[in-house]
Amino acid sequence: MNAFVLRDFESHLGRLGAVPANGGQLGAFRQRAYRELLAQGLPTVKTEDWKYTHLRDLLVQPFAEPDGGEPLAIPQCDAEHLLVMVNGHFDAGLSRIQGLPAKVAVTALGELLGGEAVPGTLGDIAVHHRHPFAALNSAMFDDGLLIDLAPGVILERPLVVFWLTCGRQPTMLHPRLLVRLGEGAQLTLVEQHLGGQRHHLVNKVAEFSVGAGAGLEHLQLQQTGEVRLINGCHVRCGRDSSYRAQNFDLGGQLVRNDLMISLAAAGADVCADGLFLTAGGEQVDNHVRVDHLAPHCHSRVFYKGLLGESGHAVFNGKLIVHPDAQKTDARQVNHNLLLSPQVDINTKPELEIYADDVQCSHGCTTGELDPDQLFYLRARGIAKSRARKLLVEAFAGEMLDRLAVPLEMIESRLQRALTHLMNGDRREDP
Amino acid sequence: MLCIHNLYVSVAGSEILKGLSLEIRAGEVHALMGPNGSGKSTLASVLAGREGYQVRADRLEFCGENLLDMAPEERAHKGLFLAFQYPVEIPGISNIQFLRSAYNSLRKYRGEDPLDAVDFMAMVNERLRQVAIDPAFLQRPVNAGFSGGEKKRNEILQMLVLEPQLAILDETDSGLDIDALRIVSDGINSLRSETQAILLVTHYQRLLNYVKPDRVHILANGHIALSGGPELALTLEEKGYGWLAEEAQPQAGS
Repeated sequence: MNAFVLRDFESHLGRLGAVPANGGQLGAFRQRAYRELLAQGLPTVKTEDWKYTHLRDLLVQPFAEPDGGEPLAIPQCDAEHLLVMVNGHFDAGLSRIQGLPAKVAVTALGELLGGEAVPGTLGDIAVHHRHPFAALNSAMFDDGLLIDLAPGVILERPLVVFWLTCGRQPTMLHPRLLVRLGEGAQLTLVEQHLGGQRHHLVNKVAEFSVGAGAGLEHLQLQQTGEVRLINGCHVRCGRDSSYRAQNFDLGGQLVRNDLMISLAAAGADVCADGLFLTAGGEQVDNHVRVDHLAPHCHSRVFYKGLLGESGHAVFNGKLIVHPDAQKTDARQVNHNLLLSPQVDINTKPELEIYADDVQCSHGCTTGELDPDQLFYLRARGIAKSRARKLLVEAFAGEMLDRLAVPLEMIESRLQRALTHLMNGDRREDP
Repeated sequence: MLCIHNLYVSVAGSEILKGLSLEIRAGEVHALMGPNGSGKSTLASVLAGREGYQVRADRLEFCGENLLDMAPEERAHKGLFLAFQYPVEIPGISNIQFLRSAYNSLRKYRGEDPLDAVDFMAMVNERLRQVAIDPAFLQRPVNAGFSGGEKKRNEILQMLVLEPQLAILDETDSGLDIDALRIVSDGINSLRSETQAILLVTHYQRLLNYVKPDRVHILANGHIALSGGPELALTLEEKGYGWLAEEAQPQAGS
């Protein structure tokens, strides 16, 4: 690292607060993470994976201690199993966990930290030396969630987690999540990251260990308002396991999703879907990396983007087939629909193959609404604005059709976000 | 009902229609024939309001109103219908959703309440039988994965549901086998009435065996080169369009 970057980095790091002083296992873990962070620095526009994400503006503002002064809007939710995290801390009063079976263990990470203990697997899946924000989180986090499913446990109903951020002064938060599915366990996890009115910076890291033969349905929804979210999600899939991600980005000043999936043992099956909406100067970055490390694995990445006026989006799909991963079957696709000429989209599918007996493909398209489709609808008497809305809903609707579990709370939020996107699209009729 | 006088249309600088005139009254069925590339489909598209054409005319009126002032949806509301030569596929929108949106847009224009799903289905089911379409077809995305014949029958279904004043059928007969041609023809004939009119755009005489036109026009060199009764189509069938070049040229300048 050259001196300029280091100086720049240290000036940022000073604002991010001091690493908590801990002893024991936790203290050593933090120090290790911090050293890895120092060794690489925070990314700049010169860092390939971060060149479209403007961090400087995020990091130069002063951050205060969380004050909780801003009133918290609690979304309506009738889920049977609900975990509410406020500024990264588990709120027992707002949560509903009475109905969880004994073999589904939910623990606030903060409780373990008091004993300066680090649960097994924490920090094993999020690779610190490749993800400086994961290293930063490991050095700084002070609470979060640990969800454990014992082998063979099947949780029938979805487990819903709200990650809420509030406070009068902008703060920087490092929420942490660790989910461990034992052999043959099955879980549907629905995470919603919801924002507020202040420029908080949320650097969340989640790690998922999906055991042999286990199945994880993982829905994420981001609607973060003025809150900036750096959302690192690191997944390790065991033998014959299944991981299915569905990701909805419905708006937010800046949302950066890193979805890093390792297919670590033979027979793993991964499907990652995403739908992102962006307009009005907001930015959403999706970085999806799929590492095929073992033979006979299957992966599908399918992302769609809808960009309204002044929307900014990045899609970076990276598919890496390692030398041992023979018989890999992998695909990635990204389709983007532009609703205005004033948009900024950078899409980059990447393929690296180091095995010789594989089937891999990637592709992306970016374009406007199809004028032939628009004319067809109008020629049948459907007004232009309604025809545009129908076509946009059709584009987005495919993602709802692919939902593993139909979730009214996601559908209604998506409907409202689409209406907003269409109304905000002020392009006049020619 | 439709009054076209001296219509000029060009696309990307090349002139396709050069002073075309045509009048269709309520109750009439007209056939517009002509060789490939003569501008038949251009005329159909311009009447329905497709963008991308430079259009000027002394008169271009539908039911006494200037078509050029109307958006495609307004033309549809006033009762103009185009059966597309190449019906468009729209993945993500079901056929029934599309039909109902179109039908209720029309009702809204007329100041009527939208028809609810049950009443609408009852009405559509009757039309489905007319065009021999399986009801399961309604749940499929609009035209996506349909065969050529299914797409054309779907156009006729839409026409029967929307009950237009003027139906323009752009090569609806092309690519149909004999059974499908009969179904499509029956659908067209059921629309014939004292108050409605039909313009059949076709390359072949075959459709006219099933739907008897009152007038036949031949489009060549950008205008109507020859008009006549149904017998004109038979002459064409016998002699081909080459004959037209010899016979029709002297009249073109008159």
